[in-house]
Amino acid sequence: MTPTPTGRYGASLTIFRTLLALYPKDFRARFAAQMCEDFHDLLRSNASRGPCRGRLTSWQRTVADLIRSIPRERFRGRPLRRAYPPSHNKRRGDGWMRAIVYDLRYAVRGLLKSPGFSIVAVLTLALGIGANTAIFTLVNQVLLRPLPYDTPEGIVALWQHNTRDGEPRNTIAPATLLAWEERNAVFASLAAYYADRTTHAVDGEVPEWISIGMVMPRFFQVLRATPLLGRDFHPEERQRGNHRVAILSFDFWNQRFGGGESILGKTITLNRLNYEVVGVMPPHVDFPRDVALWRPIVVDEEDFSNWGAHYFRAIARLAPGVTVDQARADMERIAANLAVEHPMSNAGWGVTLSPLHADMVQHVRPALLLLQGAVFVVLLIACVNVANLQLARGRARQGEIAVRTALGAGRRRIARLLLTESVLLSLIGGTVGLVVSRAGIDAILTFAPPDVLPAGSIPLDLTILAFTLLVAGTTGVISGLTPALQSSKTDLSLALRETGTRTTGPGRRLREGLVILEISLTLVLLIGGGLLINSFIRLVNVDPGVNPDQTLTMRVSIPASKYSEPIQRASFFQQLHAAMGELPGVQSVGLASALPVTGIPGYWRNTFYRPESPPATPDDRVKSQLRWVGPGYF
Amino acid sequence: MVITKRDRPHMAPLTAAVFHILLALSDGPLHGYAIMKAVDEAAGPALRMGPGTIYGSIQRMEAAGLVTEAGSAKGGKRRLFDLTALGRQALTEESARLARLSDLVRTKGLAPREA
Repeated sequence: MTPTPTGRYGASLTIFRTLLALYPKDFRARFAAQMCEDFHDLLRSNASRGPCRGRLTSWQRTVADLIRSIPRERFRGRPLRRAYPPSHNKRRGDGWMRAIVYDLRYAVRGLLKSPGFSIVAVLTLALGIGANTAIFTLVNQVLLRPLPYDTPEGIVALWQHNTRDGEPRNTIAPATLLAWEERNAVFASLAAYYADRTTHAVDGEVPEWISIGMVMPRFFQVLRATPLLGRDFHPEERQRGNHRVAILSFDFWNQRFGGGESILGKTITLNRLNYEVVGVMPPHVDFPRDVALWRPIVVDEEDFSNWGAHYFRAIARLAPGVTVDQARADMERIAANLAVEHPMSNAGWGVTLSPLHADMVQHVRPALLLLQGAVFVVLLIACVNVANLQLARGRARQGEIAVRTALGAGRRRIARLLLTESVLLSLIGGTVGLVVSRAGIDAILTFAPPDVLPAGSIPLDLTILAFTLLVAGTTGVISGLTPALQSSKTDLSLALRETGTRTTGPGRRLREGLVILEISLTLVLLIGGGLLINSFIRLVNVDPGVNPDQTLTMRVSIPASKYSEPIQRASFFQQLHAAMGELPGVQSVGLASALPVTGIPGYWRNTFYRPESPPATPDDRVKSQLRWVGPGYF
Repeated sequence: MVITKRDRPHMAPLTAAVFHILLALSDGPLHGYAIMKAVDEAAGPALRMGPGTIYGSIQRMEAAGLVTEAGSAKGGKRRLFDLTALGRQALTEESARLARLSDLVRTKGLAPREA
């Protein structure tokens, strides 16, 4: 007869009875009822401590017992005789395995014995390892992982290089692009593109802003991307009249159209114009980043004679056997020829050509590598810190180590025991660090600009796990080696007799050395961090010449299809200006083509000169950015 | 379980759990919970055994011929366990070994001084 689970301890007994299922069947058949009785008695005997505390004490003891006894009953009978430490076991094979298990058990016991030290060391290592894992996750995702296209190393990015102003990445003029396409002998395909924004409207819903990739028909051939559904753009779709087609990105197709195959041939409305959906790209095709769909660029013949308006970006696929350097040399040659043929527009313009991946990450690369370096220094500090803690603890354990040495443990054996403890410590630190790193990555991705780092979360993968394991293992060895070697050198006669607190010469010097190293590493980080914060404060304090207090901004874009005539657009903005001025709480309203301190360098840049003193060369013209503003702006 | 030479009682030292169970049963038959209480009293917090450890040990000690089931107490509710002659012999041998060890430690002046 066992206690009924409906009594005062019903819940505890039910849980206990369920846990008994973990014992082997024959063991359960014989002892389950007795064990339930015993557990019930234990609960009752602890009841005097109070209802909660009594249960807690009983469970504490029982759980510890379950953890110890279930594996023992499941996997092996415990010998009645005491087992000797494996160092006495001369057999090879399982002796080696048992030695590791013994070392691990010793390490666990040692760490549990000094919880304060263990917690501080684990947290220190968790921070160091976690920070490294977090930054490495980003480095791996952004810098190391190749682009998800077929032979991605064959894709290059092209820019016009303004050698006079030292701006290597300028958008390309249509005529220049056409010349590159016709004259090059190094590309299998070349395609221009640019990113644009537009409103997408579904009947009866609020229109939304979406990014679109405006692309030349061969764009997807360069990437070697095949549509998941439907087809690629046809060459004739870059001609006006045939251009009302679109290829959707996988995410946009799923989020807005539910991922149905019936989307092909359907019409969607962009800026009040209808476009036919001819294809859907697979999820890995995300270039330019975060576009919802792609549309063909329409370029009229006269556009292709324009050498001055720069607005294209370009990518190209290298022809088989052509290297990046060969391609660069060929393109430089073409640019030099163009400069001779069209000096007014092309003198001083070269070509910047680099692998697409390197081009995409060029802005984040230095920052990420710097961050990785900084967190590496943090990890070093953590290592030194833990090494120091272990040295201090090693001193307190000198007696114990001396007894072990006296009983026949060699120096290597002692060093191995202590090293196992240190590696175990950092593996635990690594596990906690992994949790820390996930939180860190989420925080970084939340605050980072969306075009710099990938959107959404980065899943944990084998590379990251392997990295964490490697870092944790190495950290364990680095932080444990010095203390292990130092402690294994314990002077027997001194340590056994010693009762006071005295630090021996070499040990003290070592610890002082570690403290000096720690302080110098911390100083490096502090100075670096301080300079960064100083730059940030100065940047924030720069006076932009405007007072943004009590000022709100909004962006308006009007569809050219509805407001095709300039007079219609002017009338719209006049009405908008007047209507906004009448809103309660609004003091003044201004219109501008771009907000102060924003905008793309080189965008809408014009040159001017005084008619009475025309410049000798085009270089002498004064360059300026042009912005259109309405009444009330200033 | 086959009793091997390894497990014969005169091959002391015994594990702490086995020794304390034998010690608890030396005053007469007890059930599992009573053994647990007796070990608590004798060994203090250094050795906290729960039901899993008690019955696992008893099963192996039974197979080694050290203890035996001795009927039920209180109208068949709890099963009692008792020492066998072999168990008593093992307890005596282990106690003698510990006593020798204790004397040795005392002679060398290594035992903590009693207040």
